[in-house]
Amino acid sequence: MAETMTAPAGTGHHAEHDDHAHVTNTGISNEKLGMWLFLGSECLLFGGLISTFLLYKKKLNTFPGFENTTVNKLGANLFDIPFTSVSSFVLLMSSLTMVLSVSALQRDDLRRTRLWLLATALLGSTFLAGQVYEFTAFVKEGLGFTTNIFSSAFFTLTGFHGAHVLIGIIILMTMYALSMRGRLSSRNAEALEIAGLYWHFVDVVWVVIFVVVYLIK
Amino acid sequence: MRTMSSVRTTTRRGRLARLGLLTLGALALTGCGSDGHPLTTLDPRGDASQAIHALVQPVFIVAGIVLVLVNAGVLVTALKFRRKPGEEDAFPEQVHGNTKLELGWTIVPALIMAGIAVGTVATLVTLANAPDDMREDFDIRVVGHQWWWSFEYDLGRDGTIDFETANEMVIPAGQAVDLKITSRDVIHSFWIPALNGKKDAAPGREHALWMKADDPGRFLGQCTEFCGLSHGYMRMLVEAKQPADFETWVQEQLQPAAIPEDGTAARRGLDTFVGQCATCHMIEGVNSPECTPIEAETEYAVEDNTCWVGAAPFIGAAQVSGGAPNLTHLMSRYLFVGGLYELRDAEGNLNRNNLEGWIRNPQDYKPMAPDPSRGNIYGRGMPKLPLTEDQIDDLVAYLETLGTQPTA
Amino acid sequence: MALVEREPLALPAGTGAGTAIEPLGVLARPATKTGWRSWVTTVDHKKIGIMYGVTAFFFFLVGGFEALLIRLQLAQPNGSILSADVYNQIYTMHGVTMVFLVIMPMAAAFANYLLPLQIGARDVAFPRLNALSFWVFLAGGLFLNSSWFIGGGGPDCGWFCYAPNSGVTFSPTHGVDFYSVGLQIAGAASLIGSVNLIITVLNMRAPGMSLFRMPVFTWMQLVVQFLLAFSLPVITVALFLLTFDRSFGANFFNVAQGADPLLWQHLFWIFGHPEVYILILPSFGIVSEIIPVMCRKPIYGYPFMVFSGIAIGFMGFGVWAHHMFASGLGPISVAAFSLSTMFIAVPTGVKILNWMATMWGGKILFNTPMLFSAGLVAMFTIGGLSGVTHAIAPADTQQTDTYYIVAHFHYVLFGGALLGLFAGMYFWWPKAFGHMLSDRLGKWHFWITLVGFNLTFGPMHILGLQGMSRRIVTYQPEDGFTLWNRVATLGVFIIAIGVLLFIYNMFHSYRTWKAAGRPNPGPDPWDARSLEWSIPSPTPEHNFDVIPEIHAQDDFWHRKYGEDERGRAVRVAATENVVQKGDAKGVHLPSPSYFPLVMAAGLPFIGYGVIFNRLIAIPGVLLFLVGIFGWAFEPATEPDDHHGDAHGSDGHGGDDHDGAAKATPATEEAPVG
Repeated sequence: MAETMTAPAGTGHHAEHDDHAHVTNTGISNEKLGMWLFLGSECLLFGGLISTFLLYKKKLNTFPGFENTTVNKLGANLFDIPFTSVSSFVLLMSSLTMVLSVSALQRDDLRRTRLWLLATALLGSTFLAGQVYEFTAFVKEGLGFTTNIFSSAFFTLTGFHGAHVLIGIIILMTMYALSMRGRLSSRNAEALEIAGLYWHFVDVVWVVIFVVVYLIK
Repeated sequence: MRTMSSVRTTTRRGRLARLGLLTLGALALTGCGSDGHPLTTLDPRGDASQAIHALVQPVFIVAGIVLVLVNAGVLVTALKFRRKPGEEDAFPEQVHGNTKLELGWTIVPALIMAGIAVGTVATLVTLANAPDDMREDFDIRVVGHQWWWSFEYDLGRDGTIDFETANEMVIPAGQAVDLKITSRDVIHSFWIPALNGKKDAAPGREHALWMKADDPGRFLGQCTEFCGLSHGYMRMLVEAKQPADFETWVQEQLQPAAIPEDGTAARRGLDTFVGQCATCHMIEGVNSPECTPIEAETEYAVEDNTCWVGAAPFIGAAQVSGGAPNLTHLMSRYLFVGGLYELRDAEGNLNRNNLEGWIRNPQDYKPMAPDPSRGNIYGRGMPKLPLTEDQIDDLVAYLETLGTQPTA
Repeated sequence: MALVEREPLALPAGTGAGTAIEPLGVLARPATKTGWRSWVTTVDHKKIGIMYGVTAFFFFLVGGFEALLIRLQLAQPNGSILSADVYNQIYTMHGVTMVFLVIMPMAAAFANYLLPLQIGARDVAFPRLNALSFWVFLAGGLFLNSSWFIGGGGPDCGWFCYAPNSGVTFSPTHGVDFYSVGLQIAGAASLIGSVNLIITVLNMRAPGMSLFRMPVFTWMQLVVQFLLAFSLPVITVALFLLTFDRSFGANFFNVAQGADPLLWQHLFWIFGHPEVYILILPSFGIVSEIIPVMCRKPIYGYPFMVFSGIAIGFMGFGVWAHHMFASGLGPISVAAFSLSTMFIAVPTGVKILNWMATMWGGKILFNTPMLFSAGLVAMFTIGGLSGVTHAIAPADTQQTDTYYIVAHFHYVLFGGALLGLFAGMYFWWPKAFGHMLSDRLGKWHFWITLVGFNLTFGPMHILGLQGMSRRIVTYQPEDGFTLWNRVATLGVFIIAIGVLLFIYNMFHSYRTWKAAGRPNPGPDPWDARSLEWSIPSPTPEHNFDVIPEIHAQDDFWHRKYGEDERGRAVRVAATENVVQKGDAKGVHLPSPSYFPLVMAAGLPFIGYGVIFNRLIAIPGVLLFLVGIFGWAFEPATEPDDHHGDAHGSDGHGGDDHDGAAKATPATEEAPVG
């Protein structure tokens, strides 16, 4: 993602403009529009993964010969719903801190920007740590990546989401580093806003995954 | 592949007649018969294929007319409005469009499509419902393997397989038969063009299809979903017999194989079969558990206590073609090697060379992958077995005793 | 491959992060304009477009060679040119190559070169991302083809690569691994490119260039890029699942574990059907540009042309299961997809009739581009009509996976897409290279291709209806397929002659124009209508001296012509008075960069790592990271180099790290020279 955000503005702008605000036909900057498009595309990616998971979650339960095997029981009964609810809440809270960080930057309040950035990254990391813990617990119970169709689909879906969170944290830390070097200000608050778009998207996707994977029986 | 003789006798059309077809183009297609084209879709011989043909034939004609109109239109426009000498600086009227015209040529094709749609849905309903003359007393499970087909007959539709054939399916003429199509390994597609459209055979799924031949006859088929190495060589045959002949055939198929006399070549061949072939091939009365009169190693016997077990179930089983064609009534068939080679020559004598050659070195007859490989401990297809020439002769002598030769 | 892999290692010292790249500039340094380094570091959409075109043409020759082998094998029953194993690999790679490495990138070549010009922009929205798309595509294409040498053979599963036949059990060589990873890489390239081009079109149009004044080509490309952006992620998922199955032991397509073999088919065709329109719509756009120019009439029914393209795009997402009528879907789904497929024929028909209406009443100049365009209209119609017969689901169960389908999609992809792309090459060749292709040779090329094409693929309709299955390595003498297969093989060699003639034409035309010193054909050799013809040929580095102000659809035409009282065009201004000179100085352009190439070069190593040994991935990951890192800390535009002649140093070169946080706004806009 970093490359999209830091990609150069085109030089083809025709209209007069100052150094800061790009005048585009849509009024939305190239970078932001790019992020929206990318996220639209990502919806289809997660759509495909979620469909796969739903198909195999359903199929495992009806698969002849597998109704009462440990392999089957492993899938549904391993979930620790309270634990995952807490970590989901943590991730959702990080969206709030992200908003606070962007708004602080728009007010040129760099101290708070950094604070909330750090908080967002920390909350994201907490979520990731929870996921790592959950994965290890499952593997210990005998539900590995290759165990059955359910486990392959589960680890792939949540793993892809985890990778997105990880990339998000890297982006946040890059932003933090930039602010420490004095290159983040209200003038380019949009960069942080775009990073925020990505972060919110990852959170929203998690809500869907949480419902589909953990809550729906 | 060498020396394959035809499944149907070929009447060669004149070369000139074929060239005539070229010039007539697509419209002429509807006139092609099955003469010399055993797989043609244009000569339907059963209710299902005839319904499809009746649906698509008018569409071919309409499409042909549209094709001629558009191409003639392009040609006429090109000739009429080409820039002629002296018009280098001429400019036509600058027409930008005409909404009424546009709506017209949006709506008219849509209406034509709607007409086709009605016929399509009606035919889909016809094909989805069982016809009145459906045989309710049995159905056939059609199983695709790399690279051959097995047909498992369930008399009484009670879920147990009563007997099994390979590469050739026999049905009663004039009666519809229910097929349950599946696969033991990859996706294949079961297609007898003269009788019905194709239906994929997918592992883990059972797809229904019914088939009916109006008259007795033999109808060739070809696997039409790419299924790996020997996809191009995966053929099958459906024979429609008079209903009375069909019942006789069923009674024959239900008989186990006889055990040859001691000391004969055939008996030695049976011993070789048990030692070398029985791991994959099944002969009823030889290596199915409750009927077997001789000592057979149990590892290739199947847990099921019926004599006819069919192909090993695909679910949970190794995902390979470990099973091979059931040979109990081999001599009652026309074809072998995945429906590719004729078992007998025109005079009705056994094609001994081919049968021996196939046993001697199967790879000469059909490309296969019998050796274990990454992800596959069994291999796929018939391996080259360590057999002496004497053993091969004995085996063929034994195979000759299996089943009754069909009456021409 | 060697170039891509080695070049970054030979980075000159001092090109690391944060250091200004030594000026390899393409604008202010005419001396380096033709050097190979100016190509590998370019971010200029025109150079990238040309590189796309050259690469696609190279792969076209590869895929064409594979086609010749296929036809030789099928020329007679029991053919023995190729073994079944090799045949399966060849036909798979023929399909994969032609779809992913020829038609898609060739269309991308036109999109890259022309979209900014047609909307009046200086470049695409993200020039470096544009370079990245190209290099990633090249990496993917070379990676895919490297399977011949190090994968134990090419993929042998067909371009559709249905599970479970694509699993390790049934395809134990590494061919399918190369398929899954290679297409993943090539897909990433298309995805990046699509986002870039969509933003370019939405955001960077010249003043007055409203969406409904854009040329039809731009519109069709916009629809294509949206299709790419929203269909590629689905194949991405499918390819990931396949890779996980094959390389990491997952169970997505393991039927023994209860996996559904139809999952792959759905995922593949949800991508695969929009893909069909991704392949054909660019050519529709090209033809919609050429026909009005050669007829001296505006495109007939512009809004209907645009909306039918959009309709095709939308409906293209709702018809995928018509590829699966025989795969065991329920009758309700079959009926629904059958109907949706029929009605997608309507907007396609609208296009054909509009082209004919444009020609009707025109003063048609039948030069090579126009011949190819008219050829598309006629030949695509055949493919469209046979498409209608597949939409009838019951009939499709007789036709699918036979040569009737092969005939159909070759009439669409060769008779449609490829003829259109050839038309575009003849049409825009002077714009890109400053000289014309020989029209005489071009006409020969067209007629030979047309005859060869119809001889090759026409008989396949008959073969299919006679029951010849697709993807079979051979057939039997008794099948009655021999005659038409011979004709088809004869036809493909006639096509090959046409291709050779085209290659000869490229060299011949270069010799007789450029080398012989013939005068430049000028900005507007065809008396054309869209903006790219208002600037010199070849296009100057900075595209436009002045970004034009747009007042109408076909604005450039209306600068040249008015209409008399009978609606006929009347010249109001000489062409040389309305075109730009291309001599503006000091236009600030984005600077070249090594990093797109560096990043892309890492991907094949990561791919080999996934397939063979994780250790191989390490240099790949390192290259990739170096690429990202260098990219992020390199400003898009070197603030003060490259145009010193106009501005001299203005002393803010120290702040070149700004690009890391936020794109450095480009210093705009050139004074007219």
